[in-house]
Amino acid sequence: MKFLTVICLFGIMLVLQMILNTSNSDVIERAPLALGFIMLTGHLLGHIANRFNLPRITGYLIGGVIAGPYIAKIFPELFFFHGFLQVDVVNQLSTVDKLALTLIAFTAGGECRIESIKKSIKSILIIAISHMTLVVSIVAGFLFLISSYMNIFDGMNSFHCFLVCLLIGVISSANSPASIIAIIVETKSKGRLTELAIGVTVLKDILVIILFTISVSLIMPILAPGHGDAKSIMILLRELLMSIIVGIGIGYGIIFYLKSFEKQRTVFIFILSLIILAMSDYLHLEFLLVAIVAGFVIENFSKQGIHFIHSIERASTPVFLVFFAITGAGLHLDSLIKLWPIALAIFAIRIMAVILATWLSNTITKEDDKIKKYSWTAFLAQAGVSLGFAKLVGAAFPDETFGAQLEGIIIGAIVLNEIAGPIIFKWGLTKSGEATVLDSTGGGH
Amino acid sequence: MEDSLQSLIGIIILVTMAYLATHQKIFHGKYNANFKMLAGSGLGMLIIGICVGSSGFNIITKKLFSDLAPFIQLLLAWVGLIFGSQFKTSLIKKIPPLYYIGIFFQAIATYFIIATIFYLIQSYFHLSYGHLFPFIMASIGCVSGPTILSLAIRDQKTVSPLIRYLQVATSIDAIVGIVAFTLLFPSTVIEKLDVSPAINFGIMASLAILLGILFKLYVRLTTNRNEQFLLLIGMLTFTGGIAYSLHYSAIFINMIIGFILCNDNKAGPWIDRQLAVGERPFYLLLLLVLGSQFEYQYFTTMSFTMISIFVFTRILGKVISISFVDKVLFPDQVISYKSGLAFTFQGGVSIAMAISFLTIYPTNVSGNQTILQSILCILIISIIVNALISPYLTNKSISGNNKSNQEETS
Repeated sequence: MKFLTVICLFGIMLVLQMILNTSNSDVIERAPLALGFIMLTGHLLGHIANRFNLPRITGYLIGGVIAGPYIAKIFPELFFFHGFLQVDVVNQLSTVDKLALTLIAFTAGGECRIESIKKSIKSILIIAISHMTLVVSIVAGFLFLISSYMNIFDGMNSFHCFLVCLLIGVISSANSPASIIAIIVETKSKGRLTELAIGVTVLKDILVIILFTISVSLIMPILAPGHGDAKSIMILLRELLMSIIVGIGIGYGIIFYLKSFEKQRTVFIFILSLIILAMSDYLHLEFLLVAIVAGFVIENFSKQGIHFIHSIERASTPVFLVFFAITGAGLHLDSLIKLWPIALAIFAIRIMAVILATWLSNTITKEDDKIKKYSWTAFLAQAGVSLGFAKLVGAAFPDETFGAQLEGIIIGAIVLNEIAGPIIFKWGLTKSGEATVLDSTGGGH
Repeated sequence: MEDSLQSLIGIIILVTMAYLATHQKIFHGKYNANFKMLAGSGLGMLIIGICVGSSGFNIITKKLFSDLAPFIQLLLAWVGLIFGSQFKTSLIKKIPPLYYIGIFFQAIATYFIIATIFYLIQSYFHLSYGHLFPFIMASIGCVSGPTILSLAIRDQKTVSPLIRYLQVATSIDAIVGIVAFTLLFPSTVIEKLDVSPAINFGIMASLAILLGILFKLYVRLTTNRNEQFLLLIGMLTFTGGIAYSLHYSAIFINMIIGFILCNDNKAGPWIDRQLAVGERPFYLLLLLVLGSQFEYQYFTTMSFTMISIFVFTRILGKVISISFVDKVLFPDQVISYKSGLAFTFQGGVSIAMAISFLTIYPTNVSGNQTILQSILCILIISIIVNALISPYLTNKSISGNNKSNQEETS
């Protein structure tokens, strides 16, 4: 029945699209139509994915991929199908996407409890640092070794080639806190692996931004003199500091509200998320960091943490759905199809590097066998931040063909990581016994 | 300030207003009864809208309104869904069929009276409001809202059974206005496919029925409470999106969907629960949005004359038609001619229709912003005037009927 309903909806959408294409209506006018469509189909595809023991977000991602613009590029013979979520529409929905990400970041901050962090701080730091060093160097080293067999590096000297590989390595070390949080919320996981997964991904999210900015600042002037949009490290640090300060302020603001009012808490947090986006846009803050810090403050410096998380989780289903469906729509399947051998190679070597770095860290910190065996599963997913980095790197090169190819390779690998990462993490949580809800269709969030 | 940031700030203002509206307290105690009714009608939000719009602090700018137009369709879709979900067949059957004939007759009669008067005025004085002007005024004019009457009933506690029927009548007579208004939809998208307005209306209705059946299936498949909320938002966004991109009426499409859903065993209770939560904030948000589009420079002597004619004709139409209904359909009952006064207030549907008019018509019909704004100015001020006089007239209507009822009993 669910399949049938999805097919009906697709049928209606196809007819509508044919009419709209005939009339050459403005693509932007279709934004709410596309958004409504992905909400309805993603919802059912999430259920269908769940039936196959896959995370719901995989269903949402698939919904986004099918509705997105890149399917049409892969199958141009489907002349009538241009993707419901065309590139302009996806851009139009960026505020919705950022809003969802802010709410996810609130949850991420709220899940970081000082007691847990104190217990795990050593492990978290070691895993994060080992990932930042080992994953970067293994991926970069491997790419450098095989670079002579890759066409895109033709005519480039070894040093420049190494620097490009290093940039790819840095991007490979990034994770997707959103995917991690979504899986944890869906499976209602609790335990050591869950704590480590949240702690490491949140910390890495901040470290990766710093590392990427440093790398770009140092590498891009050598690779493309006079090009690139490298932000100075001092500006970045100032922005990060400001974000933390604003995040603390907002955190205390929310605490005050939660203490004073019991009504409409979810709506209030929704409004604050919009305010964070506007402030971040105006003051050039990192909106994710602001939200993470606010969530952290509420959880750890008040008794309101439980109400806060509960208020957000009430809206978690639409938030995750919209975010992952839009992410799915933005996944460049065309890049993956074109450059799949290199993307697959990067994907495979990254998995090995993550397994090695995590195992090594767990051995140093003497984690138990269960953690040693499954904790690597948390660090595979990649999404928004990595895609953003890939686009920045691609746009920074004066040679547009090279820039586009490089971007395509990185995005191809990210697509694989984003599809496989959540599935593997759900498997890891289930196997480690930390997932309490395996079939979320009945339980709900 | 960048456009994206300005849009974001606009959204924040709108959502904050809706949020504050949920905390608004209904006035109790020693306040004047009419004042309490006015406060409950949400008129204040319309005036706040005028203050934050381009005639006031210009926070909700024209540009912002146009940027948010696709998402304003979601509000219109909500109104349509709420309206359609009132038509539960089990409840409909409880009211005698004659009453329905009476309800729809008064709405149709009012429509024709207003349309005729404005058509004659426009032809005689060669006004340049466009050929659709009389029909737009008539569509919106024949619609009533139950808010003031419900507040009056609550205030008076004892009312005659007839007043209860009047309450139902003010809740559902908008169906005539919605259908008449939908027939006016230009649908430039479909017109390239070269279809007549009747076929266009048929396509719209068929699409709405198809979506209604599909959503009924969806509700049956969804058990989780959070997912049900998602489903509602998804439905509204999708249907609002269809309406916006095809230039269809979001109110009409959702009215049909609401009707289908409310008559399903499983979807019916679900839709009631979901809609009850957001009814007031969404209604107040509509008032705010409409108010923000008012521009004082269009409030001319001509607009003033048109508003006076509109308000007077509308009341006259309701009073005459109700008296006619009384004489023809209910000769045995003593219905006060004042019953028509209970229909003075114009509720969420007429406000949604005015907004719908603004989002769909600018580029399609007149292409003349001055005419559009002038009509809108007439509509906004008329809605305000009707709201201001409705508590007094509604109380007159109730006391008139109570008196008639007592005389009949004695």
